[in-house]
Amino acid sequence: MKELLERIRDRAQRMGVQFMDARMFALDATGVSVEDGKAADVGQRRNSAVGVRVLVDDAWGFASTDIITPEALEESLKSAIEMARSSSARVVNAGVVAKVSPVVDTVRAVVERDPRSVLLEEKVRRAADYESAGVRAGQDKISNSIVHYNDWWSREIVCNTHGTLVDQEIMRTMIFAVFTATDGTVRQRAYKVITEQVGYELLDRVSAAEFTEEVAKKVVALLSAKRCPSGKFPVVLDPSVTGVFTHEVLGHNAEADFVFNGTSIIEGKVGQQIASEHVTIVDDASIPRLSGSFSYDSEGLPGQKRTIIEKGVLKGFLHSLETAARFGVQPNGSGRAQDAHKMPIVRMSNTYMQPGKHTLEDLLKDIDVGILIEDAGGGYVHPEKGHYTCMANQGRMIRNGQLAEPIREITFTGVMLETLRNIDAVSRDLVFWPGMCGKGGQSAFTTCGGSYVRVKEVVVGGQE
Amino acid sequence: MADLRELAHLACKQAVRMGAECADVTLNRDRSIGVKVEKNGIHDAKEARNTGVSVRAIVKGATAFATSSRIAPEDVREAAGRAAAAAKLAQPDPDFVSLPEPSAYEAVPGLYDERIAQMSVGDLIRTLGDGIDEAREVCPEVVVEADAGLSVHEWVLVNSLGVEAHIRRTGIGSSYFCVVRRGDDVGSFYDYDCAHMLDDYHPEGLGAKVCKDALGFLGARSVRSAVMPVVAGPLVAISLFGSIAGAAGAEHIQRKRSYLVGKRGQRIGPEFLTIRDDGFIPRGMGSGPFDGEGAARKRVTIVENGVLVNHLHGSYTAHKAKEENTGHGNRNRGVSPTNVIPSLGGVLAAEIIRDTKEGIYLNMGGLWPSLASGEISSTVDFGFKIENGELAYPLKNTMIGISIFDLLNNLDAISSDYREEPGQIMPTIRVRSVKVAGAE
Repeated sequence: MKELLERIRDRAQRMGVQFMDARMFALDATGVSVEDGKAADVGQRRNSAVGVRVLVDDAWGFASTDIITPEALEESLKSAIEMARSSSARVVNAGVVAKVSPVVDTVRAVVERDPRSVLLEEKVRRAADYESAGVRAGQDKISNSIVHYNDWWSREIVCNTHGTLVDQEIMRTMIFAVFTATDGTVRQRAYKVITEQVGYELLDRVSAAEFTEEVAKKVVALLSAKRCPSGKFPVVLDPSVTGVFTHEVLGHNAEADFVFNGTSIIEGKVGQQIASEHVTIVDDASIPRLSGSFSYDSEGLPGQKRTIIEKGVLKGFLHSLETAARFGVQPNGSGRAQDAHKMPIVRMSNTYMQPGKHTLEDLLKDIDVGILIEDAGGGYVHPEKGHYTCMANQGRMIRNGQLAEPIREITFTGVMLETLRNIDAVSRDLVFWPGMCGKGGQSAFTTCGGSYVRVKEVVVGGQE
Repeated sequence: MADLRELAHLACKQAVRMGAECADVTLNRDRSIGVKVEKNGIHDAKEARNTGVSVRAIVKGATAFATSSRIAPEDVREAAGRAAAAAKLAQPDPDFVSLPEPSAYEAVPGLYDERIAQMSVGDLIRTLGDGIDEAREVCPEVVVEADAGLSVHEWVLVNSLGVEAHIRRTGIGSSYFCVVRRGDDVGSFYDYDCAHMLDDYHPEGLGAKVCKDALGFLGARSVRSAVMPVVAGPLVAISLFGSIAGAAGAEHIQRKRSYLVGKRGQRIGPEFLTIRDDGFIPRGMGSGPFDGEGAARKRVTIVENGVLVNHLHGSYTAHKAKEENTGHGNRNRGVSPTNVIPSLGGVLAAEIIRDTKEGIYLNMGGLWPSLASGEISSTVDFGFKIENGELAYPLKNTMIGISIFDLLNNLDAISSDYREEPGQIMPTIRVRSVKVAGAE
């Protein structure tokens, strides 16, 4: 395979491209789904493809194919060049690529138990055991129970005209539970996902108590939680919500393609105080086992730690080969592609707010009426305006510095630069939360993380 | 080029030979071209060619899928063997009765246009170039991001009961996102046009429209929290009706995870509200003669005069409920709507706004009820304050909260006019009483 990619790279160089990379991506994945007591759905996916990207006449062209033969790759190369040449007349910002030293490396996924050697019956049995344990813990209130097990082995080979040839395997394993509970006319849903770059040993390590039983107890408790109030409140975000907030609100704005394109609110603000001094935000692709980590990105650059904000000062952005050249900085390993059918774009990896010094009790004690927002449900941002929305599944009212009645389904919004400046305390915990990030029609494994964070004021859109 | 039908039959027979009690196989062959604009110029142009086989084998109701991106005969046989072997290892599901059986399909015209299949990347680049120029004529300092793409899609499904479904579709579309900055103030907006047929694709003027809309969002402010009417424009209203249709899917109902559980036969909205699903609208984006399992589609009235009357079914849920399969299934036992068509009212959208003394107008964004609880808590991403019947100023830092049943009970107007995309009718609606949270 590497020889095939090197051959097409050499061909591209003879054809006079400014830059070229060829990426092979292969996937071998297995999934088991258990629903309402039956592990009746299993799936196995195998695919492979090659994507060829070229810079010709200052324009980018790309072509991909599932057929991995010299002839098909030659066709893809010709198609990519044609795509680029067709575009060049309407290019305003000439395509560029940072000059980097070539990287040659092979990285194999190292796990304790390779899921590909675990029998499917074992995966079915284990997923079913998790589900039944959760249902038992739900006190007959669980009206729908779903447990998914998935493992993914992927291999990406990146070969480019810099001389880079990187061959990287990644193994990820995931367990995911979502339970619906009903009591009369009240229906609630709760879930938990654990995704790590480990093998099947994940299931040996995670007990039902810490997984499905926890979800069941959570969803049953939500049945008696009150509806969320509506208005402006001081809030404390739990680590998962802080993580989503950090990813959505700051992370996307720090992706340098958004910044270059004029669609990031923090354009032109490097060196400025854009958040309170309590805020330090990092994106780190080198943390072992987290699902967003990688040894090399999809352009063959090493995964690394990037400080985006330090004590409230914007330090820099996440860069690909192209955006680094545009900004005159070193690329920092943020060019990721979902698979070979997509071009690399700037993506996060594991984005988190660094812990502070306080305890949760410290954060609560000065709040007369506020909300502790817990159990992140997702979020999104309009990076050009910095307007964000974060969702959470549950929380507690804070009254006179104490946790009070539980509430459910909390969504809050704000303007990024205002909210970051309104963070006035950060706890000393640090928890990571795995997820999938969507951008430009591509999905990427990411993790977000943080501590308990107090924000002076956000708008909460409840129903009460 | 390999015949997809022959390969599908090959795989299906292999799955049964290897122990599946029944099986279905899909094969696809796709080609797509896409062009991306960043910062007012073309950034990249790309072409992708995908093929794939997916075998679903069923043993005692347990389902196993095996897929591959390779579709040579040996590859599809291998996938079939994997699926059959895996199905024997999954746990039986006694609720499974049968895959769909052969039935006649009603033809749906207007899903494939050879002219689109013959188009080149240059055609897309020209369209985008025109759109950028239009936008910059409206406002020279606008930043335009845009995409244009076309796709040619061939899909075959064969099952062991004799179903054979084959379809070709083309698609073409473009979208624009415009950003205008005036100091720290930012206005932005997004819009799109898409179609199966070239005659339904009208990108002219889209760049200019989106730029004008983006200018309209400069100067956004928040509001004081209050209870007030909310007027939802076409894009927001159709997403609401689509989510109601989705919640009426029988899979969600039977699994007791939808807020519509137990509501069939009950009034859930005003008498003037009817919501239909129609997968036969010629040229419709959601249209097709059969569903994801090759079952013939049916037209379904979901809500009639305010009453929830029907669920949408696939083969699994239909057998379980002992009802007719409405042809909305997919091979993961899920159910999804096609083209969701709401009833129309007697008043123009402009009149609904004029009739609203104070309220919120939602231009784009969601009214997305939680599937389980039906609660809505949404940010006003692109909206305006209505004052004295006019759109007064754009909003930021504003949210709305209501339950879906309160929303439907407070629905007091549906417009007579609408935005139309192929297969979609998108009116404007008003909800008379909604909790609005603001930062003022």
